[in-house]
Amino acid sequence: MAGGTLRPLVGKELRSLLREPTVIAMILLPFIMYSGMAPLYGSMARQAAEAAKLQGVRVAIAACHPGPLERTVLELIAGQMKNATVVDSCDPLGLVREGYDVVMYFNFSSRPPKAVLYIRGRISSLMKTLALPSTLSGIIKEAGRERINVTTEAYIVLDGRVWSYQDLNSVFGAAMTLSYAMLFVLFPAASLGAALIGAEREERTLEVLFTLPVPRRNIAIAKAVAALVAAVLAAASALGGLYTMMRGISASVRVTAGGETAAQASAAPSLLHYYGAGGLAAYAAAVAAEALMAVSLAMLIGLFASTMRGAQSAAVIAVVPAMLPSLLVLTGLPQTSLLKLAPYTATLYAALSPLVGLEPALQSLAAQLLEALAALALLTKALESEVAITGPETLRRLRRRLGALRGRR
Amino acid sequence: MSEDHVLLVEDLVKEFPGGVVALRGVSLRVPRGSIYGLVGPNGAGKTTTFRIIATLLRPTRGRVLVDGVDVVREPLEARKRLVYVPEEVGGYRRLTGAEYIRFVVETYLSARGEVGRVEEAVREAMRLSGLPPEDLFRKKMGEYSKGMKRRVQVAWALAVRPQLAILDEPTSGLDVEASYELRRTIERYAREHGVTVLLSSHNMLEMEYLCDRVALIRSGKIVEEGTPREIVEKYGASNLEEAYMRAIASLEGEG
Repeated sequence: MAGGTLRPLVGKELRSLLREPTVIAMILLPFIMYSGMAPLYGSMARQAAEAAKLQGVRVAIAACHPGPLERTVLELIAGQMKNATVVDSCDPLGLVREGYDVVMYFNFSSRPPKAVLYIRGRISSLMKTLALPSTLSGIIKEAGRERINVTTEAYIVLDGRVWSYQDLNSVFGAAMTLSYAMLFVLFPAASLGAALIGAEREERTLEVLFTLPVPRRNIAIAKAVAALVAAVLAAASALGGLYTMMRGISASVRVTAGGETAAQASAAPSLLHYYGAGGLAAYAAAVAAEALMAVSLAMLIGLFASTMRGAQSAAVIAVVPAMLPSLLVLTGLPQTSLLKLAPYTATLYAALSPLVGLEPALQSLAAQLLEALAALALLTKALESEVAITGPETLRRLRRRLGALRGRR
Repeated sequence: MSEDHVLLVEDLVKEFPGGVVALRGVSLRVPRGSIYGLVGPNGAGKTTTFRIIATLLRPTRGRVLVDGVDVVREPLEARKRLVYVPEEVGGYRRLTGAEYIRFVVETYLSARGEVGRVEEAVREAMRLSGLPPEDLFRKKMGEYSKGMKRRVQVAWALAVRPQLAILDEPTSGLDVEASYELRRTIERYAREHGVTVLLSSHNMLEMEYLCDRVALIRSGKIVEEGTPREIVEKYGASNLEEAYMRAIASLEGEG
């Protein structure tokens, strides 16, 4: 009996849901996103595999005036690799400058002997660069077996600057986090901005608002500012909550591990140490510029929606592309490309500023600001045009036309 | 532009994308200080005409001058001279009526450079709305009935004393008592302060009672224009409604 009445009820609910554009988007978006990411993850996997095989990596196994026994050890290690050469040199960084990708510099006078790895890093293949020390340490251990105990230390030479492996790893982690963190601002800003437009239509206040004697640009700016303020408050709340949570976790770790972890935590350099005030200011400005663009685009697309919910779906369309540049950090950043001029890349370059310098970040920020202002100008233009009033009807007409075309086929 | 006319509409044509022609050469001359009615069935072009005058839509052809200002060339200046209350009235559901009135009155008068009049106009609008303080200050507009929203909208539209107040179907959907009260408010205030009112309505008796002049619009064209008495007499009818029906019948006869 229950099954008999349940079937039509479930059928009705499914029909209602599956005819809702936001639900269709919700179903299809993960597939589109993940399949779109396939090449990016493929590139990540390729870098890791290349690092593991030392593919395309030219290695110098060096020591300063090694004795015969020491030379034998160096040759033993070189034998484990394809492109390795034993070199007598007291200037490992000079070898990197000469063109070696990796210099394994052995100091046999220290007890136990120490191998310092100097790796020529590339921002375009940072995942590979960061995976190399582990591979190289493994090779040294394998070559030495139980007989030679060698400690290793790694440095990465990136654009002439020498980074300790730990520092670069921390900066890379921070850059990854920061390049994603802007979504905390972008999503609420775009969603709230679109909702502000949708609400005007839903509450039937749009026509009165648009006949008030104020420039439409001011209306757009007022809505964008309100959405940004609320988004920043939401982001601050989210980050504040996360910070409190992390503090809670680290306090628990300190209790269980004694003073050692606390000492390590306090020794960890802060964001300010890596980024400097300029880098952090560039990041904040980049987030604001990207959010302004997202909110303007969301409002622009939202003009075609007849309800608040429809307008909010527009926000997703406006913000999803913002996720792509941050994924590029994982796959490698083409240094010479015009990528930094593309929309939504300003936070990425600001996040990477300790690695690539502040100049690309500022160039990207300038481009993003111009793009945000262009989006705002486009929105103002749309608000000044009939689309502001006839947007949903225009969309309905377009759908009818598409429907007619499909029918004809 | 004659100084006696606050609104001049000349040969207005509006064609929407897809070939829908809403207006086919509408012309109107609205005398300053008058109450002017646009009468016609649904889809005749009343709202499209109002929206063009109010700078929300752009005409395909023709010209609209509000107090001498071209609404296409100088929309912002035109908006300083008019207020538009659409048929589908609304209100911000999170704002109280008092907050809404202050927002629109302050924005409107500040843009006109009349900041000094804001407080007086806000008080005036609240009084004209006829809503008790409890509703104005405590209730959010989301809780207002359609009639309450409409009273708030018409009240502020009159209280800022624009050169032209455009009221699209101001009494539609209201009960007899509410319609009567609103009609009286519009008439009294407009006459007392010389506010020109352009309004539309389905209610012919209301238009006959309220308007100094009326224009009958059908299929995007003005088919008759004059004082209600002139039109009634022309068609030998007993009231405007009858005259309207005879005007339509004669047009169909011609057609």
